[in-house]
Amino acid sequence: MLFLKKYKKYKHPYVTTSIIILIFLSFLSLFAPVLTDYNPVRNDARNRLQPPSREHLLGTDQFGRDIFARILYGIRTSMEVGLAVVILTVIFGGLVGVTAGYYPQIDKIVMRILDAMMAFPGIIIAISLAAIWGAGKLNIILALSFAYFPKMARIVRSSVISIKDLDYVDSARAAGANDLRIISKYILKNSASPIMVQATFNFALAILDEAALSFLGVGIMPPAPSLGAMVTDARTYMVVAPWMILAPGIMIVLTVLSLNLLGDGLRDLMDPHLKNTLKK
Amino acid sequence: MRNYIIKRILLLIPIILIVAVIAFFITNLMPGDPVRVILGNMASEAEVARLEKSLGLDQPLIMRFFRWLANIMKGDFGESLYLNAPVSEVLRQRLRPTLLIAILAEILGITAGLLLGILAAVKHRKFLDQFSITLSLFGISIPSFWLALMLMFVFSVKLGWFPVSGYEPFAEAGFGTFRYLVLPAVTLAFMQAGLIARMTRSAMLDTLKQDYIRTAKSKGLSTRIIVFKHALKNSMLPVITVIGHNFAVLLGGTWIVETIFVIPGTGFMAINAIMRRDIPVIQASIIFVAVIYVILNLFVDLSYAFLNPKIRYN
Repeated sequence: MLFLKKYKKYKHPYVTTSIIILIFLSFLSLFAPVLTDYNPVRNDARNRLQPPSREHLLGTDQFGRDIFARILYGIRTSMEVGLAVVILTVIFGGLVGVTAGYYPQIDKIVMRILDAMMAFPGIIIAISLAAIWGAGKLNIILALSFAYFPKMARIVRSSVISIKDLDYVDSARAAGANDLRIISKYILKNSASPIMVQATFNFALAILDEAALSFLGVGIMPPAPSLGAMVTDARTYMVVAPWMILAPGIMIVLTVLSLNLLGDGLRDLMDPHLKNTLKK
Repeated sequence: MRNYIIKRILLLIPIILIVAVIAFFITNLMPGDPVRVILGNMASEAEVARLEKSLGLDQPLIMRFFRWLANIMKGDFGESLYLNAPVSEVLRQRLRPTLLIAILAEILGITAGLLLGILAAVKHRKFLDQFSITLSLFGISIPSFWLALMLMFVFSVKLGWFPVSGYEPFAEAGFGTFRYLVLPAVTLAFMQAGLIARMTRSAMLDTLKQDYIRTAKSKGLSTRIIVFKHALKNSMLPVITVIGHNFAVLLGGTWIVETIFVIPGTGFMAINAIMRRDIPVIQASIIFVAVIYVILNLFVDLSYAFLNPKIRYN
């Protein structure tokens, strides 16, 4: 993998930092059942709105649910949604982008449609679609993928166009390789870097937008734990129980920030003038 | 140049048509029958049929689309199902707070973003650069709804500087209106500033590497003149693009902050319309944002052509 080779050579500090944070967060979400004994959706009326303590590290919410437990499972939800959106975006964006970039006959019409789709901010498309399909994890994954794939398609397309007329592709064609082989073996391999950078930013955006949708009540349905929906709950109790709003917000920021940092780092690694950028 | 402008304007037509198609079909696939919602469950079949007919809902979808398209060309978005008023009228009434928030946020965002970006580029790899990078990274990573609530908690609840929520129109409150708009605008400005600072920094760094900057330096010009007179102008193209592309994101953001601060603008209206399945209002709100995006980006492209003759003649 190109990034790995470059990373070994340059040890970009952004990449190192963000990978460490992301591994830590994935650890928290994967081992949530081991790390906490509390059930994130079980109510406990006697322990409502408890401030942070030994028993409840981050306090409890209005139903007496342990906030630490809800945070752990909330990150899990964010990661699941983010990952699924990234996979779907890469598949759809890749298919549309490669087709448009490789076959100029349909390029114009596909690009016009993508242009029009990009006129809607992602969050607006996602809110509207989530309202149509109803709230729920699967629906917001589909809604966000639908909102993000036009941009991915454009990036793939421009990368395909810049590669497809290079000499080595021509010589592969002259040697008798068919379209499918050229696309999969030569073109996709060389557009992997911009796709990965965009996918990382999409991951961050998906987590941010999932939280916003859940906050508005069209995302993850209560009582399932979602960092965004936790902020909705906390809003009512902001004055009497401020710990309720701090923890989920900080968790969202930490996750999104490290993904954006990773995206920045990968983009630097992709830059051919990298040596100048990293020179101390 | 004139041919280029005409060509670009003609290109808008298919895009706006597709925008309309998307807006229409997204909203008409919404579950929940608006007629049932209006009349309630107790309504008789005859009443339902009558209202369906008067709303034109008894016709096939494709016929409704063309009639709807013909109407919106005339600026008629239909009647709101709840507010008992034409949608275009409702939209017009709610436009002012939204535009005020958006413009205020954009001014704050551009000012802070340019400042941070230029500072970072000039002090490349110094403390101020790191500081600016970190701040702008936070800007694009903080969820706006959470930031809004935190600002509300600190500046309205604790310090009491601003009203917690609500809005008074300019006609009643005069400049007091802005007391209601500061926090929503600051919330949205945060992300814009982050985006603009990042783009300004990288564009400025690219420009500062150019030969003519070295020439200017060797001529003995001061840093201030080099930065503001020579470098800034040539770094503005990508920055303008970012501003143009993200104004629609800003308008999307008003959907969230207006809901949180209970400001009766187009965003608050849109979210309410979605919750109530008020389809004509949803359609108009979506198209409103998309059309502003399309027009703004036309201006961005035209400014490109204006600033760079190579594009004009291509």
